[in-house]
Amino acid sequence: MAFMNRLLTVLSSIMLTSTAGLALIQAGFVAQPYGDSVVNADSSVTLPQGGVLRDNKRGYSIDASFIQYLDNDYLKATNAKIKNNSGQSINSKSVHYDIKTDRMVIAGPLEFSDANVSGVRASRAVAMLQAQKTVAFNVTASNPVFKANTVVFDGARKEVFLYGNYEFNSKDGKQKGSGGTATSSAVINFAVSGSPKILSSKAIPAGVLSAYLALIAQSK
Amino acid sequence: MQVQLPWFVVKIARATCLTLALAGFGSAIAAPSCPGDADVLTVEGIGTVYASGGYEISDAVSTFNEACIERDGWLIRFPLLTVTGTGDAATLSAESASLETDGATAQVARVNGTADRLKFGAVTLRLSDQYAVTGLPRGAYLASAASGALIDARLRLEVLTLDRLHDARPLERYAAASLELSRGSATLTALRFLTSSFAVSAATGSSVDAELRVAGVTGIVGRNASGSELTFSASGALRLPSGAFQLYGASVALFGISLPLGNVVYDPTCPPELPLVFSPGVGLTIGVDNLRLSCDGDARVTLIGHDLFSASKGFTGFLTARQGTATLFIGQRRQETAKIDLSSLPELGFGAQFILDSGLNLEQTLETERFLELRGQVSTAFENFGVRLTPRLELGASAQSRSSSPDALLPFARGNFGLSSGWGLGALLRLSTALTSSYTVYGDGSSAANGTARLGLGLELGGLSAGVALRYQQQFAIAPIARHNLSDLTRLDANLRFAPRIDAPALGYAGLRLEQPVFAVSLEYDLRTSVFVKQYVEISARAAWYDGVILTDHFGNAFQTPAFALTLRGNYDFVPQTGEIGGVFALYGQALVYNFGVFIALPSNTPRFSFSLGLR
Repeated sequence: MAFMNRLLTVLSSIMLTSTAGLALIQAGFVAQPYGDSVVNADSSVTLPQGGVLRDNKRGYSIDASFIQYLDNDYLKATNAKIKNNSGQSINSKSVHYDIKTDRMVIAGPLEFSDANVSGVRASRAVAMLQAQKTVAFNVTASNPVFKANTVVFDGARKEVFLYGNYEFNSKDGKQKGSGGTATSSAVINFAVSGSPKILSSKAIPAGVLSAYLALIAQSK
Repeated sequence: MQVQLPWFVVKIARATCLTLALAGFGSAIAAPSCPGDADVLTVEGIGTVYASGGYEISDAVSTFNEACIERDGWLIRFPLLTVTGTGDAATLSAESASLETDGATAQVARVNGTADRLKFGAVTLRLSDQYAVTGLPRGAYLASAASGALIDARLRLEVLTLDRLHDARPLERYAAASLELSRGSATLTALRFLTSSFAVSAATGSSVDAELRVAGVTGIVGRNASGSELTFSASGALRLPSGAFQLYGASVALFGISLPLGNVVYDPTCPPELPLVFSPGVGLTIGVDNLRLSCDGDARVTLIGHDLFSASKGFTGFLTARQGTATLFIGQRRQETAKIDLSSLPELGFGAQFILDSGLNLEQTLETERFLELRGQVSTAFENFGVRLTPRLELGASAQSRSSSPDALLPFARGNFGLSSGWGLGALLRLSTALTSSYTVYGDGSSAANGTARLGLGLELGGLSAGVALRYQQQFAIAPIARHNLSDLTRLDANLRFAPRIDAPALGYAGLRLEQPVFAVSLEYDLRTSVFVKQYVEISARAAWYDGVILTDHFGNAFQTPAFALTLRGNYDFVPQTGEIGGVFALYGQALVYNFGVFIALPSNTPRFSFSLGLR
């Protein structure tokens, strides 16, 4: 029965995407290929000229020059621009998304932005699209100005966690913070409109700090 | 004569400003730095703040835990620091902070202000002894101020006391209107040298090569810091290398009478002593008492001056020296008694005494008596199972002469032995026994023995004390001479005294109070003749009026005394039918207490007047 279902899916995909520019639907994915779409023997789909892939179930989209995906399993993309429903946007060289573990490994250099920060550059990142969290490494940002060895962008809590040799400037430039050790940390919280609330190291609630550190450990 | 005065205060006149150079307080000293692993926040208008405990920025308010700021060589640590605003509007505040620079630390409270103008509610500043303080002895200093500020790297203290420390204990204390630490120097204004009862002001002063000289010294006496008490003056003062002050030409003015004190050396390390005494007697006696001669030896001199109303004016002088447990006492009073009392080890009770007494006797005849006496005594105490035993052995040799007596010199030797014990039954009852005996050999070959046994029972309950004792005394004369008749007596003594303790009123109390009530009865009954030989009654009490004024001594301690008080006292012995009744009215001035007394001797109805002065 499972084999029959997969066969039907593949067949319908071939029928619906044989012509470029038509939407290709595979379960949660809606793909708009820029060129050909190829259904592989393992039922995965390859868009060799790239396209736009929307995952309505998980709330993100990828616009890339090359995409290969298998429903509920994985997604690979090259020169990808990823957006999710929380406003996070990532431009990267390549991504590999393990859908089952909600872990997207993003190779750098990459650019990141969301509703509160922009101009973020990092060497690499790991994004948890469903959890709306992105862990980026060797980060610099231009708005607001900050940098750190590691940064967690938390779309759910609307805050940024800076970890290790961090620096930041307030928007008006009148406050400049820094932590000069590998374990220095700071949280910039944008949950309340107006000036962000900033907590550093021991001022960060222990539960919040340990959760971010665990996330970073998982992402290395 | 060099005499060491107790506590006093040297006040440099308003125009005099003493600058204390603290060598090495400058740029050569490496300034401490804030911890490098702390979180750092640089706030425009404040500078860089290190926060080992993290910080929180919310709107325009930044809160720092375990914060640290470096400011022109000073390291300022805050347990909790709040910075409000940025730029020119930036201010900081904290409940407390510590300031540190090399060799100097300060604890401050209630901090607020801007980055270059921090104000403190209270300051405690500690200077280490690595600095050579010109004008004051080398040593560690501790300053406490009511308020202070750090303005453009200058630490300024207002209204402060400055202690010179030795082993963390204050040796001497100064007061000053302000202290300013800046660029390796400390500047004090209106410096005063503080003690509990003296304040000395100097018109001019100079400090050259660690030698402080002041001239035109005037001073006041009294606990009350408000001044205007008893005044004294000196032509000049010099700080000696030991740290003591030597006053030249010092004198005390009393009711227009100037009493010269000679050269007075004051060592501030000595505990406070009051050097003036006003001794009420038949007339009015004024003088100087307890001038300390040396600190370690605790030697002092007592000079009691003229008895103004007496026909035979004279002086009384005593010299007392104490070193450890040894005491040397030499005295001379109107009766021309010279006495040396050298004792050591009080518990063992070794003592030697030499007495020379001559002069008018009570009958005011020309007859004189002279005594030469050398006495040694050994005693000790044991306490086991609540019983305290005190055996005592005393051996003495005496020579006595009387001008009217044919035996111009009658030497004799005497031995005493005593044993006393006490046993307490709880805190209320105490059973005591005493056995004493003596044996005396006189120059004419005669001898006499004396023995006394006493058994007593005492009761202590609050302010009530009562006792009853049985006393038996027996004298033997081996070869009796006229003065030592063979006799024995058996007496029953009883005494009752009720003097309830009344606590001092709370500070600020205003009103009339009854204080120091005493009711005492003492009886002595001769069991052999069945007659009372003593029936003594004493009653006294004091009515004191408090005006509610709280005074402050030089150390800032609050105290209160009555504004005036009337003490009534009477005693009467019904056996000889003699007694005295009267009262003392005490008027409390700003620093002195004036006591006016009137007593009537009974049954002659002879009035006796007294007047005395004391320090409030």
